[in-house]
Amino acid sequence: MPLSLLHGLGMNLDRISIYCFAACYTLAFVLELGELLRPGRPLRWLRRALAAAGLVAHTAYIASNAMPLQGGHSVVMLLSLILAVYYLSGTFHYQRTAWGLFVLPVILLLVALARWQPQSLAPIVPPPEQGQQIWVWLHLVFLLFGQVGLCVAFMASLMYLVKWSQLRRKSVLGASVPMPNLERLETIHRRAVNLAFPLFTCGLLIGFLLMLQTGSMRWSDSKLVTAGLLWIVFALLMLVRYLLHVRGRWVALLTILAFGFLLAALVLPWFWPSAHPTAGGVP
Amino acid sequence: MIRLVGANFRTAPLELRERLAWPAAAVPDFLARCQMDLGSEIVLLSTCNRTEIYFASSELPSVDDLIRRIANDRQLDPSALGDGFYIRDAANAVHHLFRVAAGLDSLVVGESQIAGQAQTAYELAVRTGTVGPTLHAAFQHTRQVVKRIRAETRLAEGKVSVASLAIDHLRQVFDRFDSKIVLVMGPGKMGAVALRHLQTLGPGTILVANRSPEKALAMASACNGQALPWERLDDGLRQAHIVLSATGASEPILTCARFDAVRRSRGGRHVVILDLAVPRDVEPAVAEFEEVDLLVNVDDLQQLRADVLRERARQVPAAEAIVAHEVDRFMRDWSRRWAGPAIAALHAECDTLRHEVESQCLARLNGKLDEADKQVVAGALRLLQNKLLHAPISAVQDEAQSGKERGLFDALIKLFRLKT
Repeated sequence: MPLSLLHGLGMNLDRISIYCFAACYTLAFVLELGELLRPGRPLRWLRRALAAAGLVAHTAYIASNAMPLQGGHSVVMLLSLILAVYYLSGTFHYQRTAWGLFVLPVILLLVALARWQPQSLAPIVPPPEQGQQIWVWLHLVFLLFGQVGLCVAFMASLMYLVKWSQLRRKSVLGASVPMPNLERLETIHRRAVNLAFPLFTCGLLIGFLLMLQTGSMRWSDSKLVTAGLLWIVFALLMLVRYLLHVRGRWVALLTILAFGFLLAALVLPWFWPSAHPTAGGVP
Repeated sequence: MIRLVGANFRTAPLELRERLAWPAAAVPDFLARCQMDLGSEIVLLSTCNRTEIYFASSELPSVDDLIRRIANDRQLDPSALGDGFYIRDAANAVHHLFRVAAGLDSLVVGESQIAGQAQTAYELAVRTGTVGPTLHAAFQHTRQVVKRIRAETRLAEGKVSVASLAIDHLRQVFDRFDSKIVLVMGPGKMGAVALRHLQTLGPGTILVANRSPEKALAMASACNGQALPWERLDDGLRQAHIVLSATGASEPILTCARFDAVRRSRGGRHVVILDLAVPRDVEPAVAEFEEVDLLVNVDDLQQLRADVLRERARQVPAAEAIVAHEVDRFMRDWSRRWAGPAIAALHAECDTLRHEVESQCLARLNGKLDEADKQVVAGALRLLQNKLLHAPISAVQDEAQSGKERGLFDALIKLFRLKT
């Protein structure tokens, strides 16, 4: 429906490339930097307009190029789209903070990763006759939102560390990079991991069962190894947070490590062949 | 025309400023009397650091007369006031008003309280009925100037009182305070001020510990808190999210060993410590514990205060430029408003005369000129009119913009018998 609407408006969706929305997000980031020097309403609204334009182009691109889901490219594109929506809503919620300085680079990083992801022609979701469609969808959705949660927790952790160091340097009141307070950042982090961990675990379990059923992947498959390691770090993070009652800096550092494993899970299959459909379908 | 007569902390000693300060209740009466006697608009701004009276009228009273009135009202010897007062007229008075309201003329540059005081003075004069179009325009423009300076510069940013700076730090750590436990250790004078600021955040629980149980009880009841026996200080340290310390102890009360002993039972909860005591109550090394998000002492806060003041000083040129620009804009707008109708009337009068002359001339030359010649004659007369009027109109506009005299303006009205 949105696709036909855009076509109806005379937009040629085939001409929308990754560079269109990457440029919008990059400009929004530049304006975020500019706002540090000269805060003001016009810049803020221009930045929002750019992010919104990027979001429209991003959606149109996914609608025309990444559907049906094929390969890791489309999954990372979806992940970056959800984070772009999150960024845009945050620009209204956290108006006076340098929110975008932390969120936009993650979005741009994911867009860049998607750009270089091998594009498999094989659909991720199998045809209905194979009878696994619903489980593959659940596996995909759970993992996608688990990854969104981890990305949000990562950004909150980065902000937490910067804010913490500002406080330690006693430079927080005149800080050139304004940020939400530590408690708010902890709350964002806590909510994000509380949502992400169960989703991520369920997604992995379903994927594991599918793998056993189809026997399509080996135990040494790069996707499986990196996802398993990511889950272990994630579990360690939850353990440290809730059982050992560790808070603050160490939790933030562990979250950054977990995000590193998420990136590894996206990048490693380029070099270490994987049979997973999102890795390009290399057997 | 606007005239300002005033004295402030730079020109008058405290004793004189004290005697010049009008009690709020006496202001309306003074304003009403002045207006009745002088027939001018009047606003009185009276704060602890300044007393300024703004007059506006086409014919202003003499400075001596104004000073005599002020002296009579405040029961002072007029000769004692002479040196303490400054007089500003027209654009200079507007410039002064804008600077004062923006905090550029304040003892602590950039303080924002004065903008509210100027607004209150204006509103009181409005209620008393002593404000007319000139002072209305000036004070309403003042509000815009203050707003613009706050939006475009950082002149009013940051706090300069040590207690409020300490509280600002808490806002950088905590999002909400209704669930927070505050431990106050033997608050001295500065601690009590900080506690008052802290209460405005609405903390969940306030525990007050003092070596003297009576003092702890008194302070606790004053701040709706709970007194904590000094011997149970460690219990308070175990629970607290915020520790505010300002005792008179000569040795640190919160040592590393003491904090290390209680931190294990804090459940990983973080804490902010505000040490407002001199000598310090908290060992600096306590800041190294992971649970301590922030340890701030008096030196840190003084340093921050100096940083805020330095930053404000850096913003002064930008704010002064805005003031200068706005004064110029105000004077231009104002001159257009009062000279505009007279100039328009002059143009209309001359247009009528020109059309009369042009008609007579063309009637005499009837049949001798074609359409192009008639256009040339009309154009020549129009050009002559514009050239003749250019100099007097410019002079009247310049006079209006300077805001000082109305001589040329009045002369123009009389010479051309204009009805404005």
